[in-house]
Amino acid sequence: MKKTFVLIIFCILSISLSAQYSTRQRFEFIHHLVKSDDFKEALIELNDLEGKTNSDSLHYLKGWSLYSLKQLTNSAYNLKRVSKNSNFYNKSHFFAAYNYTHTRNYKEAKKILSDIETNARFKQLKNFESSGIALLERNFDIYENTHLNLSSEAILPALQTEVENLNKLYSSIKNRKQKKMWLAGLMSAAIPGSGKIYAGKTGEGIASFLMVASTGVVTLENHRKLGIRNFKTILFGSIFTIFYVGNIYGSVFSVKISNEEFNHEMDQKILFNLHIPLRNIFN
Amino acid sequence: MKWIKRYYLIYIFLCGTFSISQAKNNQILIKADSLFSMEEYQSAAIEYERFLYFSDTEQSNLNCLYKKALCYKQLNEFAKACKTLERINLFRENIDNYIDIKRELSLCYYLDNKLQKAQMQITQLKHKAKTLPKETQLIEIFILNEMKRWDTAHEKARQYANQYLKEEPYKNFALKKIDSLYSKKNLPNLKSVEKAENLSRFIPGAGQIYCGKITEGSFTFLFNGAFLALGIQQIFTKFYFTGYMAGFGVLHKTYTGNMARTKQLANKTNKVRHTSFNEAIIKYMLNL
Repeated sequence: MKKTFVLIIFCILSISLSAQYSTRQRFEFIHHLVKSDDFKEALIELNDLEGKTNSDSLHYLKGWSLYSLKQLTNSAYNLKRVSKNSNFYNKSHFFAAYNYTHTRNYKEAKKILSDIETNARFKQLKNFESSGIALLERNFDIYENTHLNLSSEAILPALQTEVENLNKLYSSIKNRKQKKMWLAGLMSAAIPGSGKIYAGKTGEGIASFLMVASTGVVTLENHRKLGIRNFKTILFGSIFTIFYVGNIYGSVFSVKISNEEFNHEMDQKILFNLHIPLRNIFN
Repeated sequence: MKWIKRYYLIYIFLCGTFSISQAKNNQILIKADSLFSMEEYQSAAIEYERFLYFSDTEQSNLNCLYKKALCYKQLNEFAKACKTLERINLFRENIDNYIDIKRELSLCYYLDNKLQKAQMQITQLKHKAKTLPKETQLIEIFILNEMKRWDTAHEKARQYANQYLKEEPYKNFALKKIDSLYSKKNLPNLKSVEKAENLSRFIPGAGQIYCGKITEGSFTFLFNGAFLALGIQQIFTKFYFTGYMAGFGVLHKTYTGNMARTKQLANKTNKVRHTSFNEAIIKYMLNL
């Protein structure tokens, strides 16, 4: 009886072992692939597991692999599916929010952040990320409120530098007067190139001034010596007019470009400062 | 007796478990090999890695890593192939395996455009092996070509033909062909960027003509000449501003543009000629 019992157990064990690798083993293997930076291979394995299991590890690893491959929207979708019971819950949801922030889907990012159930430790991080999004949206009231909460508590060491950086960026954005396109056009009409200098492009402004001034002087010289109806005067006069009008048009657009460049630069710096604490805290 | 029986059963149980685990791993290896032979290289690479991860022994590691690298080579992922081959512990391997691995490494580094690393693999191989494998000899020739070391490449190409072509008439024909390919007349006539720039500095357009663009060079010369003439003529007729601004001002722009264009053209011409020469050699040597 005893022998039969042992034999049955042995047989059951043999059958189960000789089958495919268990899901746990497959996850171990996927972890190994992710650690070796073989994200593409990890994704193939994870896609194969999709449908067979619905575990948090699947969503986390898929999201992380996609994040590493810079497929941020898909990554966010998978990371936000990680449930509260998982050890990777905080990491996944904070990174999902960051991924949405990076792809300018601020609404979804804010929703994920507000839904995160955190302990006191991560509350600061949550406020910090929210304040960063507010700054990206140029919503200064929300930024000040969330940042005030952050400053009232003892700031986490991993956040200290970035909180200061974000404050500096906030000051730069708030103190910068948005340049006016019409003013640049008007300035360039009065003194060619001055509109571009106003837009912050000093070199371009000086070059434009020299160009317009030189064609103007040549036109004037020909006008004085040959009269207004002479072909040379008409030719250089036309060139001067084209340069003059073109410079006004260019100045108007250089203000627009300058504003866009400033905003883009600020956005990149904000995103960088939002990303660093996540990597420091969760890695 | 009771204890002996118990120990006996435990022993059978552990042996069984171990042998099943081994069998499972071997199944993975068979699966990987099948995928490899079915040319499903991506899946095969994953299965080889799975085997390596779950394997307790290092017995089949070399074979697995080697085949995994071949999978990546087939997928044109040469950097990954190199990374996989670099995982092999060569100190334990015999000379045949060492040669095979170094051969693949040099090929993958060459295909990944890492010429110095490829050359380093060949140098290491030369220290261990008496003669280089056929493929590695070819890679060495191609690397030398890429590095513009034509004389050494020529010598190696001749050695290759002498070593591998047995039939005398065919060998003589191949040697002649190699000599003609590496003849001074056929070597890529690479242009000196500095010389091209200097030519254009003194005679605008001359640099372009030196690089083989005669029409472009002639137009550049006429264009620059026209603005120079305009500037001088205007100054002689006392139109000082017009002469200075419309003549010399525009000339300055066309002149500096001409210099930049000459440099770009010389580099482009050299690249095209070098590539075309190398491709002709590669095509011929691979067909030998």
